Amino acid sequence: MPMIIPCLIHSLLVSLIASKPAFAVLVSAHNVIQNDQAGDSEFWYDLVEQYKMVREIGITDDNIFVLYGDGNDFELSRSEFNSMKLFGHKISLGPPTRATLADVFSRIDKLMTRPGYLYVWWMSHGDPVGGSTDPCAMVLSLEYDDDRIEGSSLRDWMSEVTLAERKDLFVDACYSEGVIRAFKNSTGTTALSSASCDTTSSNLYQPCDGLPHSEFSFWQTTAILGDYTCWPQASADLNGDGRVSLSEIQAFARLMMKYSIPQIMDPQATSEKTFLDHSGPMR
Amino acid sequence: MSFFQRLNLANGCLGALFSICLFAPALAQPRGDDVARKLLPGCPKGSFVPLDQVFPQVQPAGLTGDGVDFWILDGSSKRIYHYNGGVNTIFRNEIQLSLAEPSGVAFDGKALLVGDALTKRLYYIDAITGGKIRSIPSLSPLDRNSGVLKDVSWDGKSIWTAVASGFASSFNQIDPKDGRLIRSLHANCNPRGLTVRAGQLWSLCYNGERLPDTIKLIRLADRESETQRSARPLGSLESPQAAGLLFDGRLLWTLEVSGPRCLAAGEAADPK
Repeated sequence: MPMIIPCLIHSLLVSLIASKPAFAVLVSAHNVIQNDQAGDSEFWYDLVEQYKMVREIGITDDNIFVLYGDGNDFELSRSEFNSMKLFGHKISLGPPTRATLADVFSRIDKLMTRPGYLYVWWMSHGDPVGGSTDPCAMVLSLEYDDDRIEGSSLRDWMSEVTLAERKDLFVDACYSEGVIRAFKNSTGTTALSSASCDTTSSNLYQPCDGLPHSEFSFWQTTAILGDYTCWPQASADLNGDGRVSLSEIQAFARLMMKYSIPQIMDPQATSEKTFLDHSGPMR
Repeated sequence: MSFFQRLNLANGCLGALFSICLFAPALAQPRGDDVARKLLPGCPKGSFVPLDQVFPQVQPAGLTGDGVDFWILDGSSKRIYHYNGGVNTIFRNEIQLSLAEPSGVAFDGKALLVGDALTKRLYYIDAITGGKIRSIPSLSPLDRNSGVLKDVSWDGKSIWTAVASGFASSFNQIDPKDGRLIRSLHANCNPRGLTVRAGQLWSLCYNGERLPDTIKLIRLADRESETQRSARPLGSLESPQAAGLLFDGRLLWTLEVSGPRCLAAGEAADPK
């Protein structure tokens, strides 16, 4: 029986997403130099895991926009993270810069011709703003061109997608509560961060593959896909209703993470009724 | 020509072979110049300096020196041991530190520089008496005070620190006069050691219990993007307790439980 429920959720999720236009933007702003190096490899490994996950929940390749590192897939990657072997094509459209980010969201706005869904995952360094009196002041690093952006920039780009009736943002960066605060007045958006204003993000060594992954992104994908092969005692379905809501993802991540304290910005208090299988607002 | 290319040519060792050298499981086996020389052809005789003539082992917390003289920081006893490590290892003297959590040691030609992970300060220590001369703050602005100071290096003009703090781990260049921060770089690993010389920074990166530590070289450029793009992995090290890193101008060393270990030989690449 426990195996049946995730399958039902997954089937429901795919069919529901298929009924409405759904897009994903995946951003990983550090250029990986080697395999299996904690603090480095996660920026490619977890990007690929995200790509696999958004495909699993029914978003098609044409609707997945990836901005990574220097704009070139990490070709030396292990086969389990090699985009050509996994997907038959490269996935990165270019490096994350202000220009490419603005362009991607603008393109999605044009492509989304009826109400739909937008999923955004962001992984980068998050740096405190020196000298600020705001204990949450931080910026997201765009390594490719030495740029840094605030959460408000990300919010403004996402707001360009005018027909997205539902937007979910996952930010995996140190001190990233400072990013999601920018979404406190954003309608139809729930934003989750990997870390509070005073905690860094960190990695864990996933027991199945023994490789480094960001702990937040790892638990987030685990919760959404419902795959607990490596952690048979775990479940993100905390209330046992057979579904995993955004608030459960946040609570589950908080429960499982060792080093960081994930946060949620939920201005319309919809996270308990929002399911990544989209049986809620996407119905 | 990169450092690594020169290194391989100098050693008569192909790049892939060099990686194998460093990956060789036998590297984890302790001591013996013959073993070290066989596995690491760039490391000459005397390139493993066993400590057990005086002490059975240390808790590695850093090393500095010039390849002949070594100062070794034992995190457990909070002592610095001074060795002459030529063909026959000679114990010189030891210093008992009065620091809370000593971590990382460097030598600026006059005094020892020792980091204190608890107070987050760098202490100038008299190399003979062990007395504190002065101290400066060890700033690492990429973390909000949660980082742990892991190592210290002196490049001839500036102090460099390695700070471990999850994805906020950093390398920091510090003005020796007052501790002013000159620049910070994302480490993109969990650093356990660093050494800086001639515009190049080598780092020793801890990688969990199941994966070997790694060694990485970056060329310091004005822009961080250029610096990060220059990053090159040099190899792996099956020595999970290794800490500290030293490039003496010819050889790259780390400190293991049983003594300083030569990792590679080569010459510093042209910093331009």
